[in-house]
Amino acid sequence: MWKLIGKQRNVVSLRPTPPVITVSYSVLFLAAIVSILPFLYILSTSVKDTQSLFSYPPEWIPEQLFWGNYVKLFQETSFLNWTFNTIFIGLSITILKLIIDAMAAYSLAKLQFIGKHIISSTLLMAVAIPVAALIIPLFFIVRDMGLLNTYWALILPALANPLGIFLLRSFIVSLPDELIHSARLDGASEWRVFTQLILPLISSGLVVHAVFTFMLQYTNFLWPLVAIQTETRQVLTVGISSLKSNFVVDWGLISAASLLATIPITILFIALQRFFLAQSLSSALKG
Amino acid sequence: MRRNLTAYLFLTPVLLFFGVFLIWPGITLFFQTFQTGGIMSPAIVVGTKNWERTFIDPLVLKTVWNTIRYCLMAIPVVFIIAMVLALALNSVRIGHTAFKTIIYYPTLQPILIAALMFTFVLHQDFGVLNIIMRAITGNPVNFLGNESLAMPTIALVEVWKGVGFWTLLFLAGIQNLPRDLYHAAELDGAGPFRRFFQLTLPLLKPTFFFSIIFATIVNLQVFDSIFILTDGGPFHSTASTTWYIYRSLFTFNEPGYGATLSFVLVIVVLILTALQSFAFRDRN
Amino acid sequence: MTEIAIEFRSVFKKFDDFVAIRNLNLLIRKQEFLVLLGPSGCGKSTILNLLAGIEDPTSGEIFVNGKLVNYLLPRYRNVAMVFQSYALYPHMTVAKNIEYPLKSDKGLSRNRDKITKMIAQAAELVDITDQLSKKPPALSGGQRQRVALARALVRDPEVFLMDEPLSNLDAQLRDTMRYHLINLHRKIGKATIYVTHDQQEAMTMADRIVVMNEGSAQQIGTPLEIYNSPVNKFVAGFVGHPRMNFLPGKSLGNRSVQVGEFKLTSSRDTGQKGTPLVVGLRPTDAKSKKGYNNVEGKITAREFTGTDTILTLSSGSIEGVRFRHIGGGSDIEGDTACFSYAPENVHIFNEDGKGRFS
Ligand SMILES: Nc1ncnc2c1ncn2[C@@H]1O[C@H](COP(=O)(O)OP(=O)(O)OP(=O)(O)O)[C@@H](O)[C@H]1O
Ligand SMILES: [Mg+2]
Repeated sequence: MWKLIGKQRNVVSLRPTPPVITVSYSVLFLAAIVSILPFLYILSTSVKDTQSLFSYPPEWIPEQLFWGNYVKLFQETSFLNWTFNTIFIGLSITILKLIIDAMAAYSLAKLQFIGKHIISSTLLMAVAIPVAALIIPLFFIVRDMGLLNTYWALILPALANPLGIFLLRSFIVSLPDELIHSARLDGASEWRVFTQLILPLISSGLVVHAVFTFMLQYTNFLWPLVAIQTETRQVLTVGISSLKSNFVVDWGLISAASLLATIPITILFIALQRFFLAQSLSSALKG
Repeated sequence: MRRNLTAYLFLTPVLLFFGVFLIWPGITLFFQTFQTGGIMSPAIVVGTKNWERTFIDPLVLKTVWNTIRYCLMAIPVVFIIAMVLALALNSVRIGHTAFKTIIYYPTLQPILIAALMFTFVLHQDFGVLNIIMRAITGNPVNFLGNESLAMPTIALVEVWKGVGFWTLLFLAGIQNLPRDLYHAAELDGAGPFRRFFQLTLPLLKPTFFFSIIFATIVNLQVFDSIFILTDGGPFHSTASTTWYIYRSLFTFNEPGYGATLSFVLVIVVLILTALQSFAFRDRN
Repeated sequence: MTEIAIEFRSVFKKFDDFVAIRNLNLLIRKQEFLVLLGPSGCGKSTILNLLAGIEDPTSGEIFVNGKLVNYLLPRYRNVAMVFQSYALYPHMTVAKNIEYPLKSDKGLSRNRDKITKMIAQAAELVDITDQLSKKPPALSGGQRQRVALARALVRDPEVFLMDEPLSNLDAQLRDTMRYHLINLHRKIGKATIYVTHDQQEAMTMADRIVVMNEGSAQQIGTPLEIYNSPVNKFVAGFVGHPRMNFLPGKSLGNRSVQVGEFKLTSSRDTGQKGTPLVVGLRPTDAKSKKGYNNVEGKITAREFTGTDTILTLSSGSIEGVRFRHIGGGSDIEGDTACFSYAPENVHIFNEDGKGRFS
């Protein structure tokens, strides 16, 4: 009898056993170290001069902090331009995409029209198109529009990615139809239904979408590499990697640049942490 | 049907961009495979010449194989590690959020960071590992300069960057599983291992299905880390299809041939994802 | 004579293959309070949706004030609706919710004072004045329902549509709200369609009742007509509590029927001699003494309801028939009891239940 009760308690809480917890923590500590250590090592390299890079045993915390890399970064490279470009382009894409994707998602989730099925399945299938395979035709399209080496070359093509529509659609689908009907009966136009009802009610979905879009943009590499040749118009990722193509690689400089490049996205991450969860992305695709 | 017009108006911006920057390139890609001409020079129709060349160019097959080889290395590893981390995260309370945050952090960063980190660890001259190796054995290992080690190293770089994303995805999957089933299983006396293999894994099948397809599509386009770390070398042992596409456009100035390669990539992606969907449907 | 506010002309509504509304013909007068009554899933909400423009009829026409509205967008129809699920805007306060329908009135939106007054009035009417600054998720079910009512009442629409607007209130509050609604309706005199599955509510509030079943209007009439002359077994069984007894019988011709060993005379036509038919007897119409049309049997169960006793009787040929006995009564189970019926209370229906016998 007592045993049964004890067992049941255990069952209800479904608490992992001590060995499981121990193993879990060990694994997590290891993972955390592997995740964080590189950043520390890059930090340490960024405040070393090139000579001490090769010293043995490796010097983790340099005795003499060397700020030359940072000075050089700001004085001799277009680092500030790259940062501005990245943030500006990222924000532009995010804002535009949020608006057009939400509109499309509302249409697909709650409006009836001919061709809905075809449109939504075309958009969904397009998720499977490898974007890397489109860079050549895209390059020529953008060239013919006269947009090479402009911000537009990076902003406009990014708006074509349909993934976010499905994320937002899954949020809108879960809103009860009656709400929308009620607003319409209360005299609201479709645009008012969209802006006054749908948008506020899916705000968390919008933030998730925004965060993903910005992050994707922030780490984007191939397309900026193809579409932008003017050094000052470049984004951070490509800009920093171009520092490497000198004959003698200045590792300290690259480290300084890379480390600074993590700062904007880190700030965003800390501010909007809970929205970075990948959960919604999967539910959007499955739904 | 009366609301047709509004519905189309709301869809217009998306369809516009979608059409111009995704469908249109897709269509022109097809026609470009029958053309030649440089980046700044006009295109000339050359018939099936590009296609004939892809069939005899050994590098095409090599890059396709490299790409697939890379996927076979990276995806299982990243999934297994992510699954282990997700399970671990699922069974801890204290520090749960902190660990989650830290593990996710690398995913946010440009691949550059990951590439740089591996450079610092593995570089022949100053990589930490090699500095130690040299001191002990006198023989440093040139990871990225070695034909058989280069691709696994690239895979490792991508795994380091990608693992956080998949961890959170799997964790979300695990946490959405019906709790009652676990209570029932525990009442039946199933231990943690049996619970994992008999409940968690089968129940996560939809998540895996989506994840594998998604990961395949993304990883078949591998480029950033290769471009930064090895630029396809040594001896094209890390040359991926996307890398070859990029080089045809910019180094060799042969966009027509690059388009043909792109088409090959599309076909590879379609075949592999179709096979995967098929395999998953079949077993259900 | 009286003006017609709404007309449904042979309206059908199908969801794929499922017929939700079957050939609805309905005239609603200005100032009329019409109640749609019927079991769950019979299409009551669908009728409101059709009128509001939320759903389009598959065929047929709907007129409001003589104007065909089939293709009119909901926002141009000027109807106020209380949704069954309330449909309150969760991100707006109660006050904002009530204000929302006023927003599309350009002239009004400049007159802040008037709006505030209208909100206060509507809130007063449903007694939620102290909740105005809360948001709907923080309200109880009954409070939400009242906000939904207020949001409809704040407007000055062509038609009011109310989908079970009182279903979530406690008995006492429901009584007061009924009273308020009826008074309000008398005062402003706008056509109102009110959905309920509570027959008592229908009886007390309606000018006319539409009894619905499986998408068809079974009977349209005043509460009295519906109660006294139900057109078929369904209506007769749905209206009135306790439920009408249905007994199989055979016509003896000349307005009389044989039910088991009893011979009953009705004021209604019973058709040709020998026709099988169904006799309906309301437990509440029974007189507890021997009289003209007698039914007799052994008491098998008795339920005391406070003012009356419901006795269940069985005899040789009929079983489980219930009668109301006014007052406590001293009969006990096993006793023999006898009830009599006035001929006008002996209802006659077709055997298949599809209609009144005629
Ligand atoms: N959008 C729809 N798609 C398919 N079937 C529907 C739809 N709306 C209603 N129905 C069906 O039509 C029938 C009538 O539904 P309706 O909501 O009008 O019933 P109701 O009389 O209001 O019932 P209740 O008293 O439960 O609210 C039901 O069988 C319902 O399943
Ligand atoms: Mg209903």
